Amino acid sequence: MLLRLIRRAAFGALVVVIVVYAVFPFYWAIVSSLRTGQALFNTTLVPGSVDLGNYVAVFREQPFARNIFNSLIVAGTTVLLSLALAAPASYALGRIAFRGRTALLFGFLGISMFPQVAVLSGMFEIVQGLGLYNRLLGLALCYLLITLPLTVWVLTAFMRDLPREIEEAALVDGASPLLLMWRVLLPLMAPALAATGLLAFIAAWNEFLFALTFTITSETRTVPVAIALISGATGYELPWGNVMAASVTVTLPLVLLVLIFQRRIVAGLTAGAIKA
Amino acid sequence: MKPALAVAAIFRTLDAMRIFDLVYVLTGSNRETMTMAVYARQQLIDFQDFGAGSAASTLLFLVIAMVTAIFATTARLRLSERGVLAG
Repeated sequence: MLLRLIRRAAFGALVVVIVVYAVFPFYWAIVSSLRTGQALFNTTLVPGSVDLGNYVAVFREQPFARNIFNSLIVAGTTVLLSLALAAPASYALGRIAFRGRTALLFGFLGISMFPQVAVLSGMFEIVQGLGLYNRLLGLALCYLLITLPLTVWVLTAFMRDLPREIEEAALVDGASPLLLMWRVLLPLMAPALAATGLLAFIAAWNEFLFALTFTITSETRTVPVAIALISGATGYELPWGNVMAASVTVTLPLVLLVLIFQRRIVAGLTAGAIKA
Repeated sequence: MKPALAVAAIFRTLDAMRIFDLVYVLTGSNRETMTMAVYARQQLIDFQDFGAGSAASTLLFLVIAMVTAIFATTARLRLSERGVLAG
């Protein structure tokens, strides 16, 4: 009895440690964003006075609203493009037996393990060649490289677990492949589409290396780059308050989004996954 | 469990080896903390030295590929389409 109690207490303590470890940095960012000047270097855990000046300053001193808009456009385009490409691809890879299918799937997996910097110079040439340097569309195209492997794999696994009888029924009723895709399969895949779409959105929203390299003006920057390049009045000053306020502004909606859809994300991702 | 653990270990190791954004934002081009990816980008973009930069990024790719191969062979992983990786 006592042993069980100790075990439960130890387990509880472990959970608390892990939660604090995971959540504290974000909490500290929020606290720091509410402090200005010398108070920033105060290490008390609770914010004394609440000062929203940093939030005002972030939007006044640089085109931060524009940066958020850019990020929304880029991430939204990335999600739409990757779902539009991955959904038909998953039908082909999950349903139709053709030569080299397995190789193709593992090719996708290999791409997802690729270090981004290894394709940076090649990507630069492509972006420049297409005339998309310093354009949002260029960034969205680059992000497909990051999002497509995940979306294709998850959707393919999901597609395989859908019962074949449904599409056979549709085919018997004379549906064309496109109609089948649009009217029958897409609604069935909705949970998987939502889950992978959200993950693709987050990946595109957070991406840094391509965004840093392929944009040059502050009007085309996305949020992560804009935050990294926030600078103070002099080169020796780093305005931590502004940096933290900007980070919290763009992270909070994302955290809320994931918390709301948490169960759906897990369900959508595991629905077709690893059942060897 | 083993295949799942091995896959997790491989993915996390690869992610750690190609890390760029955290290091770049926190310490910039400090030589003491520079990772392979930060070095490659510095050569490529900041110094406009496409030869050295491409060489560095190709080496980074080879290092990562080698580590993956070592991992996969020591854990005796077999690739299977259905379970991705099976022990």
